[in-house]
Amino acid sequence: MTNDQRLCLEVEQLSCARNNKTLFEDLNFSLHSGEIMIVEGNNGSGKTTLLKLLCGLRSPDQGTIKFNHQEIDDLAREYNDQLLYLSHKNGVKADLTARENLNSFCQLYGQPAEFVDEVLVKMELVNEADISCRFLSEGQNRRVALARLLLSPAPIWILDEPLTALDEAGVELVKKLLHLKLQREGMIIISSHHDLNIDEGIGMQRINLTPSLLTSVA
Amino acid sequence: MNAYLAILKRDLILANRNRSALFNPLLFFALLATLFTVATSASTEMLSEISSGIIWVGALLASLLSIDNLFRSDYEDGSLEQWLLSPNKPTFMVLMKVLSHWLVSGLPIILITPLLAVILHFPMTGLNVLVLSLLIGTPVLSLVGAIGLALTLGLRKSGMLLPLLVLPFYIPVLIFANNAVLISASGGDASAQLTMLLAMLVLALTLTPITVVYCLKLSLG
Repeated sequence: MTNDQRLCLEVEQLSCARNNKTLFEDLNFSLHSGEIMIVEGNNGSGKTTLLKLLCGLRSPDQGTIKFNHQEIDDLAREYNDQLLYLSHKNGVKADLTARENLNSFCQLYGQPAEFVDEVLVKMELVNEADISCRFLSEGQNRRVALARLLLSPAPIWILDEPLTALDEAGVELVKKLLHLKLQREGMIIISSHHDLNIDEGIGMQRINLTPSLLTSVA
Repeated sequence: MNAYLAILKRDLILANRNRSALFNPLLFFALLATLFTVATSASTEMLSEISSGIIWVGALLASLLSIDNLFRSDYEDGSLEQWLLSPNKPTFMVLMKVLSHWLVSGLPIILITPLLAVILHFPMTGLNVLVLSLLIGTPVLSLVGAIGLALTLGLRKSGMLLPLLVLPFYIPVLIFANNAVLISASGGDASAQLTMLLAMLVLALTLTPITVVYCLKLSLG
């Protein structure tokens, strides 16, 4: 990827309050292709809120979020095009089968559905592919949701606790996908309580939202 | 365009797998109309006078009853934020959601209306206009209901709030529609009222998607 195609996400003086309680103030960082930002913090410290702000689902009380030097509010769909967001909720329809869910993700992203079978194999969902997701376990539903990582072409991933409910093999799989994404010049913003085994060498930033610890270490 | 049709198709499949959502409003509508024939001691003249009102109020309440299906499950399982953040036009997706909801809960009501019109001794000269007014009016109800639902999605207890928010906006539709039906049943020309209804539909079609997207973002944030 050439230099001018590099992605750049800049956060300037971001502040956010929720229920009259300030979650964070004056948050500054910038992130580029091939870099990962790990958001840490106690429960209720605003990790999910920060991720929602970064994908534009919520407007900041103060400060700006810029993607390639333009505010994300002005970009709207152009920014959505670059973005894959995974929240606590799986976004998986319980009445559809795993395969149907994956097909509907493809349609949503405007991608051909030819890779669905391949992705089902990779996510180890082949035997469950034609069972209604209502009857799958929490971890299997999580795998269906995580199949998005393989189906969406978006270069930026914003992942909110992607490893919850996954078994060891699932956790390893996601870690592998994260590494692969970074090698391919993607950008990842992730909140997680797991150790992600990311090498310090590749641009990694940590941010801790626990009020007394609010620091950003590049 | 494909993503929008896919949403429509997906919703229709889901509705087919969850038939109670399909039949509840229909059953409610049919019960309401038939109960009236019993409760009004079957005086034919009185029934035929109020029959259009019964049918329209029934359709309106049935629409209100089913509006929750429009976004609630998508909101709870997280599909809603996924399609708001997808690279598609959110307003078009809202239109598709409303269309699928109307096909599932609005259209069946219109289809059984002629049957109920017979039960309620509705004057058959006005049947065309009655069906036409429902065809134009019920989509308006769905569209306006979508705004109310989008606004109240994030609230924990929104039970009574939604009807309170939405009913005032349903009333103009009810007035013009019922007026059109009454006029045509007595042999008059109801085109003015129907045009007014059509204007409401155009207004709702153009403005509600934008409002709904905005309200959904508020509820999700």
